[in-house]
Formats: sequence, structure tokens, C-alpha cells
Amino acid sequence: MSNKEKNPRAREVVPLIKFCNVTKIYPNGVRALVDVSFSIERGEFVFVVGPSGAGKTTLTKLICREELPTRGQVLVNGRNVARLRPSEVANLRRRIGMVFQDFRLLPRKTVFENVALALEIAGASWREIRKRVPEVLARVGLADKARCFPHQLSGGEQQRVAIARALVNRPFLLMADEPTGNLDPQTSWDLLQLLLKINEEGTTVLMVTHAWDLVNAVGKRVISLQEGRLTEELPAWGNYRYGT
Amino acid sequence: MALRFFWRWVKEAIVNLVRNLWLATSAVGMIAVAVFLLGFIVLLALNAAHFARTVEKGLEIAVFLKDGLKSAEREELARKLAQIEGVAKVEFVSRQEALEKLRRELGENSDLLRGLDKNNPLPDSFRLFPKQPQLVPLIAKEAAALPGVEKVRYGEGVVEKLLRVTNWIRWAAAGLVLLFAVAAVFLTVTTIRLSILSRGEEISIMKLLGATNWFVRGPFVCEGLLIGFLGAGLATGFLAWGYWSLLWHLEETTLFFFRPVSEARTLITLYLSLLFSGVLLGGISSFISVRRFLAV
Repeated sequence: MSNKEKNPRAREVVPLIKFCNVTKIYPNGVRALVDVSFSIERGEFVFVVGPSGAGKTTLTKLICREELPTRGQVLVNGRNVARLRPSEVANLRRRIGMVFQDFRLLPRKTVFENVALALEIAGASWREIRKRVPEVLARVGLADKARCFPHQLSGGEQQRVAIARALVNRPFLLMADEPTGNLDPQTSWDLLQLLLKINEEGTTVLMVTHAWDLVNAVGKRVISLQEGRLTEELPAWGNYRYGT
Repeated sequence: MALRFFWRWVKEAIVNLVRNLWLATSAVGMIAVAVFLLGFIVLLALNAAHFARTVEKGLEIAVFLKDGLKSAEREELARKLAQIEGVAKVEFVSRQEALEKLRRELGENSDLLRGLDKNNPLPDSFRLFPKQPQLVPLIAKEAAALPGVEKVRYGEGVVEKLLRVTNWIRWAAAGLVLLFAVAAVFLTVTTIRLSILSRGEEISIMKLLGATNWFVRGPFVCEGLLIGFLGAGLATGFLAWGYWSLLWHLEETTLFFFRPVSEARTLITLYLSLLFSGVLLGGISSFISVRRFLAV
């Protein structure tokens, strides 16, 4: 990103995501996050867990600047997202791959077009699109579904399309908000394996989830939220670390 | 770069139209109805105004001369009449000409006038044509005061009433056009807003993928322009065809004294502006309707 050019050492010095005493209170008075601080380094795989209403989704919305913090700062790549101009916000979102529980695919576009959209938004040429969409579809195992519309696919397949769309711009961060929420256990497990593979290939992954069995099975870092605060509570098993 | 974006907008707009065929068709239909109604009213208003003008143009003042006026006196009078403010033209009508005219007007009944050739009871007269119809009473008053004038006739009382009526027609026509224009605008804006409403989710997804406002807005605006073009084009086509065949039929029947507006330039200007406003309205409606979904 642009601050890399300004500060060549930024890559080593600055964590990818840094929350500094972030509080988010919505206009209707709901306190979604209270004084939350943590950071995520490049290449990490991080679970964000907690009961419903604990502020997990708010956390993701703050990272992609769908919402602004009421107090405190959110730094992405060392830059305060509250200070970004609209064009920089658009740029930030192009470099963050987002996956949602309800997939959020465009129903009137084919799988190919849904994935191509992310490239078009980033200003890719038609030739690039023709090359990279099949590549990324193959990577998520949907090479033969390019011409289908979303409603013709199973939930797991739709979520893979969403992941393909999130990956196609080679994001520095893949953020998945309860990606397995609408999927059966086997499909959820396959999806998690896919996310782990993506992480091994170098992309930082942040996965919000309720699914403790998944969290416990793979032993990655866990950020746990309760009523908007980071908690001391530990998952049953795992190689977790707390936010700093 | 800009050209590629533009091309994407047009392509997206067309693809969206085809994939939402039902929605697009109803939007086109609504706009067609709105524009057609507006165009119909404008044509009506144009003809009403044209009618008022025709009636007013027919206004003239007859100045009857005293008997036995010498030709020098007559010419002097003609000059003075021409000098009255607001007089556009002075035309002399001799008593023989007046009789001929009367005979022609009576047609079959012209027998009544037989034998009057030698003993013509009609006086010589001048016809005065006013520059503006409102000036008729004033001109008549001044003309009556000139020497050698026997009597002045202009349809006293009737002219004043007529002018009031033609004025009213003009205002009513303008008011009606305004009313229908406003109705057409609201109908179009609402129609397009509805078609975009169902796609708010789509817009917010694109914004979350990092689309700029124009990236999202462009195809919608293009789509609005296209829908506007199709709707207004349909309406204008129907209107032009309908009006043309009306004119064609009237040509054969020669409607008494009134001829409807048939000047090609006026009509083409009307049709083109209807088309243009439909297109513009479609685009602007889309622009406005998308705006509320862009704040993500």
C-alpha cells in the first residue's frame, strides 16, 4: 500500500492490524466494543470467537471501515482507517478479501461474473480477468461451475465462490465473518481446510466463528470477545494467544 | 481508461436490462405512459394556443366612409388611419368589392342581391388590421374621430370577451402542461427508484468489494438513460403516428375554420424534446435513486 513506499521499514515494524483502545457505540446506544486492543501480524491465522452480540462482526466492520470507532484507533498497515479519503477506503477494501455468513453473491450474475466483479472494481483488464478468474476458481475447486448462477449451487459451493471473489485480488487479509454459519459440519470442515491452505500460501486470515469444534481442532490463535470486551476465558484446547 | 469504463457501464446496463426483463419492461411502460400523456397534453395546449392566435388574427376593424368623399380626401384619410398607433395595415374596400364579397358569402342565396349592381347600398370602407388584438378598441376609437368617417365597426363587446377567452385558454393550457410535466417527473422517478430499490443489497456488496461510487452508479445511470430512451421513444412514436394520422384525416374533411398545428418544425421540435426529456429524466432518476445506497 501507499505507506509502504513512504516508509520502507513499515512492513517489518507495523503490525497488519492494530486496535488501540477501540470503543464502538452505535447511534442506538448499543455498546458493541469496549476498550479493545490487540494486533495481528502478517501471515497469522486468527479466530475471533464469542457469543452472539459480543461485537465480533463490529470488529470486522471496523477493519474494512464500514463503521468508524467511537473512541480509539484502528490501524491497518499502520494507517488510521478513520483518516482515509473515500478513494483510499475503496482501495483498502480491494485489498481485504471479505467472506460473509450469507455469502453476499450477486444473484443475477454468474459465478464467473461474481468473481470477475472484484477484479473489475480493482481496474483489471479483460485479459487479466480471463486469466485469473479460472485460476482462482480452480483453487477453490469450482473450475467447472463458472457459468452457473449462485442459486444453482449448494451453500458450500456458494461460499467457495465468495472465497474465490475475496482471493482474486490477492488480498493482504482474508476476513471471514462466520463463513460456516449456514453450512453443515462436513462442508464447514472442508471450508476451514481451504482457509488454512490459503493461510499457508501466505495470506493473513481472520475468521469470526461460533464453531468451537473447528477452533479446537486446529489450534490457532484465538481472540475471544464477551459483551464487547476481550476475555480471559480459554478455549478447550489450542495454541491461542491473547491480544496485547 | 475512461472509455473502457464507459463501455463497461453500457454493457452492464444492457445485461441488467435483459436479466431483469420484467422489471425493465414495466419501467419502460410506465415512462411511456407518462411521456405519452405529457405529449398529448402539450399537443392539445399547442393547438389551443394556435386556435387562440387564429381567432385573434381574424380580428379587424371596418371603417365605413361617408358618401361622396373625393379621392384626395380618401387618400388623406387612409394616411391618417395608417398613422394611428398599432395599425399594421390599411386596406381599401370599394363598394363594388364589398358587394362582390357579400354575394360570395351568400352563395346560393345571392339572388337576393340581384338588381343591386346599379343601386349599391353599401358604402366604401377601409379594413384596418391591428398589430396586437388588444389594441382593437383603442384603434377603433381614434379612427371614429377622423373626418370623413361615417361609422366604425369591430364587434364591440364581443372582441373584449373573445380576448378574455383566448387569454384563459392560454393560461389553462400552460397550467395543464405544467401539471402533467410534474406528474410525469414523479411517475418516472418513482418507477426507477422502485427498480433500483430491489438492488440495494447488490450496491452495498459492490461498495464492500471496494467499488468507487461512479463504478456503481455508472451502469445504473446508463440503465436509466436507456429505459428513458425506450419509454420516451415508444411514447413519442405513438404520439407522432397518432397525430399524423389525425392530420391526414382532417386534411380530407377540412374542419370549418380551424386548422390544427401541422408545421413540421414545431412538431419535430416537440417530439425531440419529449424524447430528450424522457432520456434525461431516466438518467437523473437513477442518479438520485442510487445515491442513498452508496453511503456504505
